Amino acid sequence: MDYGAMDIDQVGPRVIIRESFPNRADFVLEHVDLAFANSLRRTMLAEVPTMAIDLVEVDENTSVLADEFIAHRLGLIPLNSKQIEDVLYTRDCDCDQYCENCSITLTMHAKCTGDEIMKVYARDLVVAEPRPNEWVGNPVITDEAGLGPVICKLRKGQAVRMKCIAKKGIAKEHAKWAPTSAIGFEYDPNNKLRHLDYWYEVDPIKEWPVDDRNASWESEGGPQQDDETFDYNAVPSRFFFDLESIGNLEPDAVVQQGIKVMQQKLAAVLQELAGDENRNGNAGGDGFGVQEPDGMQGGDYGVDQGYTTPYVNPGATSQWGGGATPYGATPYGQSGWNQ
Amino acid sequence: MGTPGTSIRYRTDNKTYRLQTGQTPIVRPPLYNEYGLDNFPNGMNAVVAVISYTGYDMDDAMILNKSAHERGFAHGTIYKTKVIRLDENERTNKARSKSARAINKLFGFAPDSFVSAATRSKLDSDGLPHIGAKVTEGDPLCASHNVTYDPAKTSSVAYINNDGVTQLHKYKDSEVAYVEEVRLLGAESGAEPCQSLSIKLRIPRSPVIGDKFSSRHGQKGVCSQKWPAIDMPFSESGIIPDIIINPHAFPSRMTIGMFVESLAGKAGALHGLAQDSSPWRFTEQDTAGDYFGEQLRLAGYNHHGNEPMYSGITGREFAADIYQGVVFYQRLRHMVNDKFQVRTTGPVTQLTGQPIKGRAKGGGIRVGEMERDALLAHGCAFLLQDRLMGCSDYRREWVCKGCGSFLSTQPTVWGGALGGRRGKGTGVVRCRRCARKLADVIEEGSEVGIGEEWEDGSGEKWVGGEDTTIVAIPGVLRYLDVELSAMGVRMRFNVGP
Ligand SMILES: [Zn+2]
Ligand SMILES: [Zn+2]
Repeated sequence: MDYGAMDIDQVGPRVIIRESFPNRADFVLEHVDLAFANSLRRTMLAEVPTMAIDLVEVDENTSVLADEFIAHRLGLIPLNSKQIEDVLYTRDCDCDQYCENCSITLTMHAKCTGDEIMKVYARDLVVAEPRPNEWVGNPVITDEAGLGPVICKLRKGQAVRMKCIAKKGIAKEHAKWAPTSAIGFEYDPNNKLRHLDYWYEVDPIKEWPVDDRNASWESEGGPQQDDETFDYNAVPSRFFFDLESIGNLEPDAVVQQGIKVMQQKLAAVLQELAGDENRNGNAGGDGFGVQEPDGMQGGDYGVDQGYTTPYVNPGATSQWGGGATPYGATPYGQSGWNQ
Repeated sequence: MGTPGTSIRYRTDNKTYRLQTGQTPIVRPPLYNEYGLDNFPNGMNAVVAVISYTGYDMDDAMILNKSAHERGFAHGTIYKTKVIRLDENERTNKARSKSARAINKLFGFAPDSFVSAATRSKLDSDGLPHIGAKVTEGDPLCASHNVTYDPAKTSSVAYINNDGVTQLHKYKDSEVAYVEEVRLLGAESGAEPCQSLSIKLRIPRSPVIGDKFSSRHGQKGVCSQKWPAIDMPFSESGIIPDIIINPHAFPSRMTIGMFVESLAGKAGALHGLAQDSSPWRFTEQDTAGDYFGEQLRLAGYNHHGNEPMYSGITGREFAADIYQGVVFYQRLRHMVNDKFQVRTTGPVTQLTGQPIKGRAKGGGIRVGEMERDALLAHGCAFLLQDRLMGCSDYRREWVCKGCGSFLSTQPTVWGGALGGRRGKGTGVVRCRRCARKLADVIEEGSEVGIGEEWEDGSGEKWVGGEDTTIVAIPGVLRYLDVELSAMGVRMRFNVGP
């Protein structure tokens, strides 16, 4: 691969969308390093905000399923999250519990009156108005009959009446906020980098299936030839993504949102690294910058004296803070354990 | 855990385990269908990767995908039934044939009694819990009050409460539960008022670290960590395993069946088939590996069931391809929530002052000889002292430095000469063994200074034995001294300095 020529032609990452469906996007990400590509994958999997039911107030539940079980099922129903920027995180909102700016209320009220078993579907969730925008909070329904997933089944006389509060969140917190069901990820389909050492019985080329589309996409094409020299300095730079959306966000929106989240996180890192002169008196002095708030507690991160040996401790106080054991005076009537 | 029956709703077992999110196994024998076992699901099809990843799958431990858990993987419930009897402590003879006049307690709040708002919010006006209510340790399950039978009044209120006191029957377990059902157990004759109550409680048990799982091949393991899905390894198609187990679980146990199930399950999932797991269907020439391997090959997978996988943390492809398939996993009923034991201080035995045994009673776990040796080998003498003495039978005991005895020290009392508090303890402890009787000393003609003599509890006056001090010892040491002295053996302690 001629990296030198490419650097001149191409600066920065390049995305080639190979195929696009309502709930799938197949694209190739080029001229980025592995860490970047994987970061994007991880962000899209776990940090793209979506809507999901987070609180359920059970008014009536005479179905055979327990309250918490139905609540769990409700949480997993995908809700439309288009233009979710219009919705605030509840923790950032001024309200006490939840409000129109940070949540969407859906109500489920169903009772079986007939002799046949009645199914309650996602379409039976009624979205309350007003809400931040016209899409957000609608249950995602993709089947032809327009029913959506089954929530529960009711027998004659049984009823469910629940108030569901959907909130904005990310899949890092709970999988119900995941925008994708899976993200296919591959690089170097011809194994030219030899990251993978195929296990085989007779012939790895015969025994191992190759993703033809990805393999032939690589301009060099074909498996390693015997006369080809191995470039041990080569690094992966082309990544094949196959993203499948759950339906709450369009696949391209998932990618865009993922990039946005990553940008925000990187911006936060840069800001921390640059240091704030006003906040951190001797910024750059210790070389660590501002500390993570939930990191190690107290003390100067950079100027730790290290472990001081408790033996031959000239002071009267021992390493355990004062000369006393937890039981009052030290045993054996001495003033310090090492005197 | 599984589905113990179709009549769970109507049963009142003391304890029942139930799996909430059961599935039908992909790999199964024909009899599975014949017996209709789909009506009683007892496990879940898990995507299992056999890989040593992060070390948290060492030694039969397994890593669970946190997202899989959040989607409901292996969620379970325990149903417990508590029966509350009002007539429990009374004459248990007469075989429960109580007459109307023998009843002296009724369920419900005492009329006009004071009931706190907290209790009101937990119990309904009839003194019984709300269905679906959450109960935590110490919460009331129901209320009752004392009554006396009034034979003169034959109307509806034949029982009169006189003290206006409401008794609460509390929930004593430490786990959060939900009230599933309340049953009033009426009298046999139907004439007397209700005297017992059966409350069915539901305890949700989502899988946590320390819970036990198993495939159907006896490959049991304990969940040691729930990794976020993004940190788990993934295949090229983006599949993230639900469970990671360690390859070392296989060579010595030779559970080839699990490999075959993994292969068959994967092929079945890819093609939408329920696979037949009958034994002896294959021969040395026509092997299961080839049969299911061919199915995998047709689905575009390696026929051995291996797949290239990537590290979820770095995104780099692993050097080895990973055996990944679909295996039916069961949740076993051994859960940490029923087993964990922890204690710093707590109840002790009378005799030795050492902690009692038993998890239920809040006892300790013994630091035995081997544990002691391990601590010694690590040089943790201070920790050892804390385990063996500080958290056990730590005692401060008076000892005589002169004669080295615990047993000869005794408290002194105020004598008549020193004021009005005669007979009260002075707080000073002297050794009686090293002391001499005041009378003998005077008879000898020796000088006795002011305040040198002391008095014991029986009025005898003594001189000397001042060389006493307090030492910290394990309580059993003194007990040993007592036992030995009973056999005529004296222990002598050299107390320094
Ligand atoms: Zn709000
Ligand atoms: Zn003595």
